[in-house]
This record gives sequence, structure tokens and C-alpha cells, in this order.
Amino acid sequence: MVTANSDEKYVVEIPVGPQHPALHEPISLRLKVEGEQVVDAHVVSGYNHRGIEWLAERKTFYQDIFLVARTCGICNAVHGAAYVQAVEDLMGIEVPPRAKYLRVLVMELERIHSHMLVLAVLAEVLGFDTLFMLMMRDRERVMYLKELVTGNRVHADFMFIGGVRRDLPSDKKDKILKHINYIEERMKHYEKIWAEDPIILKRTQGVGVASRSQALLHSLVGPVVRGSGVRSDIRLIDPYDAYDEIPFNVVTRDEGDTWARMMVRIGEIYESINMVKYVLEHLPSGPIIPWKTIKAAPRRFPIGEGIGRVEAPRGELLYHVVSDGKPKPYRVKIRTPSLLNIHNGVFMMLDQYIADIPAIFASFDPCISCMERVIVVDNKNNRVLRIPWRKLADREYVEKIFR
Amino acid sequence: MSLPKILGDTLKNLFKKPITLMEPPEKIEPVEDYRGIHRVDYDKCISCSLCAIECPALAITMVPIQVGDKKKRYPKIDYGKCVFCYRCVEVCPVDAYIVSNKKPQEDTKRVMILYSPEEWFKKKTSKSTSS
Repeated sequence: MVTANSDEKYVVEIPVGPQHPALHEPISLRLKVEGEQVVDAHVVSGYNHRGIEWLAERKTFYQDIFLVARTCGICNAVHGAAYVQAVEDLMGIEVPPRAKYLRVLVMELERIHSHMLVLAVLAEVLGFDTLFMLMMRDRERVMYLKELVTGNRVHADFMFIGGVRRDLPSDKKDKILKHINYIEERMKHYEKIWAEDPIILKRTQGVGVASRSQALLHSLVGPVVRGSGVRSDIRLIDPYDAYDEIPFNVVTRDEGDTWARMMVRIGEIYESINMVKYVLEHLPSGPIIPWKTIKAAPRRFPIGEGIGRVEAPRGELLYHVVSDGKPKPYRVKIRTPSLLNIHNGVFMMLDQYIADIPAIFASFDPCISCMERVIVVDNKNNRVLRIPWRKLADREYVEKIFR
Repeated sequence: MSLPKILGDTLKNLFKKPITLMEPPEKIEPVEDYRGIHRVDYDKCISCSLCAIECPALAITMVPIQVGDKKKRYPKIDYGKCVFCYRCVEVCPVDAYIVSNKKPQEDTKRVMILYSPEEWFKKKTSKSTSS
């Protein structure tokens, strides 16, 4: 029984989650609160570990293209692109220019719908269900465009080692332009709502602030760090595919709060729309894979390793593929952006009110099931194992500690 | 405090039809080259089992079938496992796969989500005997 003492402050621990803390995904937040204010918070994850890295070692290089895309439902084409980039780095394949542009097209369409989703979800978290419904209705048009280009509205399965799997006929360009213009018009309307609606401003401005130095110290990535005024974007600092030829701006804001992060996303939607238009205009002609047909793709993989890193809608996504010359990869290491943002971004929740926690958490755009990794806790010696990056790429070492 | 900016949208939508469709009766038409249900033309199939080897979801298994006096292996597709990535369509050396843009049908019976060569050859033999 807790006895209240007027002189002494006492702290209550509140579990938020593991069912639907902010998004409809399983993660648990343990908040220690003093009255209404959070004094300590930590994240408990591991409810949705699926062992994708383990499975990737037991399938062939070509099967893995489709497996790694299933890591995340929303950013599946980006996962495929990062994996394929790592394998191309391993094999030393040069991608044809048309394939590069088509990859950018699909990845930017994905960025538009991913950002529209989180803008809608945050509106729902704030209790603004009308905006949620309207944004999701318009997001369906982007999903249709993705279906038009790739053949499925969610799982693109568009990337292939050396290029892409299907070409874009010229008659589809007008359809894409028509819908993308409509989305741009609607986004202007939504930007006005996000920038001027008094309820949204009161719930998000000054909530969950991360200063520029804090964001860098906690190594946050993606729109979260750009909302704190850091110009960090893999498309800019390490251009892949056709990003070195396509003009775009990196959107940043200096406020560093929940509202700034959402405004960065709105700005990025405009940039993506412009990039889609640019790609459709300047799409080079030529083959989409370096071989005659997709059936002629090489079956032998050299010994070595490759790195693929792309700017996913949520931030930097990294793939490390190690090959020992067999048809199956020796190791596939995935580092998703949500891993950094969720675990390191907890400091933003301190000194905030409980009611603001879902809004702060949703503003990270967390993707929980693609983030889950195993943490090894040695109960005998009472310690948590810290494994260096190099060692993590060694499958035998990793298997030894789990035994 | 100003009026919420969403008010105009809300009022406009009050007099509109709902955008959501009531699927079963109404249907969402997929695009022309949607990756839908795919079938195997067993007459073309040369039993190379490349599709079964390459399938990322292990949805294709090779089953032995007695054709005439020869026993050959043919692919059987389990649409419950299939992820519709069309890798099998891509690798087939004789292009034996027939593609369509039909969405996979949900069903409680397991027979409906399997596509096996047995029925194909049964139909074929019954046709040849009747004619």
C-alpha cells in the first residue's frame, strides 16, 4: 500500500503498451511519472522479433530480395533497394541509367505515402480523426500509383540485382502526372491545416524538443534529426542510384519539436513530388538490367562483402551482406532507422506530460516490427553483451553466443 | 482562436457518397498488369523445377504425376503461401506460366487455394477418352 507523504515526492510507474501505445504496433513504454510529468522513461521491445536475418542466411541471394522486402510493409521497396545495392557492391555490377531512375521513382512514391501515413496517424493520436480520414483517402491515390508502376499496391517487389524487374510504359506517365498533381494540390491544403490549426499547434509546438546538439549526441536519423536543424540525408551526403543527377532540397527546420518534425515531412512530400515529375520528364531510354533477359542473371557470387545504404522514409537504412562464395549469403545484417530513433529518442519524453507521450512517440514515425533485434543478456554473470560491429558480421561468433 | 481550417472539408464531405466500397458486391478493379493469380500450362512445362527452387516463400512443390507410361514431376502452387512476387514467372525457361490480374480469392476450403497438376491431367485424359 502506498502512503502519501506530503514532504516526500513519490514516483509511479505506468506501462504504456505493449498494445497500441501510439501506433498499432507492439512496443512497451515504461514511464515513471511524478504527478502528470514524466521523470524517467524506457523502451521495452522484443514483442515482434521475427528472425529475418537468420532466415536470410538460409535462402539464396535471389530469394532474399523478396524476403528482406517483407521486413517492413511500408518501406518495402527501400529495403529491397538497400539489399540489392549491397549485393551489387559485392559483385561489382553497374546499374543501367534507366533502372536507376525507375528505382528513384518507386522510392519517392513510397516516401510520399509513408509520410502521408504518419501525418494521418499523428492527427489521429491527437484526436483529430477527420484529418486522419481525409489524408488516408488521398494516400490511396499514391498506393494506386505504386500499383500502376510496380504491380502491387503494397509490396512492390520492384528491385532486382543489377536493375529493376519491370519497365514503365510511356502511356502510364500521364496517369501518374494526373494523380501526382492532385496530391500536390491536396497537400497544400493539408499544409495549411498543419501550419494554422490551433488545436494541432497547441498539442505539438514545444512538445518533445530535441536541440541540434542533443539530436547529434543521440545519433538520431531521418526527419527527426532534420527537424532539429541538421542537414543529414544519405541522398545528399552519399548519393546512390540517380540522386546525384536529380535536383532536390533537403528540408530542415530549427524548432526541433514534434511540429517541426511533421513540417519537415510535409516539405519532403513536395520535394518527392517534384522528383517524381523530374524522373518522368528525364527518364532515359535503354535497358533496365545489364543482361539480355532477367533469366541470364549470374548464379555465381564472389567471396567478399558489400554495403548498401539508402535514405528510407524514416532515415538511414543500412545493409551489410557477407558472401563466402556459396549461393546463399553468409550473413545479412540489417540496421533500420527506427532502431536509433525509438531507443535513443526517449530523452525527448522527459519532463513532458503523459498525454503528450503518444504524440512525441508517433512523431518519430516508429516502425516497430522492422526494428526488433535480439539483445543478449548473460544472466549468470549479470551483464548485457555488447557486440562490436565487425563481430556481428561473423555468423559463427553470433551463433556461438546464442548456444 | 480562429475557426478550424478543416470545417470546409467536413461540410463538403457530408453531401458526398462514401469513398469506401462494400466489397463482396462492389469490386475494386486492379490495374491491367497487377500481379494476380498465375497458372501453369502443364503442356509447356518441362519439369525443370527452377520455379520450385527459386520460390522465396516455398509455395511451389514438385509432385510426381503419371502421364501415359512416363512418370514426371510437375509444380503444384499453394496460394496460401504464395506472396505473388512472380519470380517463378520470371525464371521459367519455357514461359509456361499464364499470368492474370485477378486478385487471389479468399476461401475457407483448402482445395480452393491449391493449384495442382492432378486435375489438369485428369481433365485431359477424360477429354481424350470421350472424344
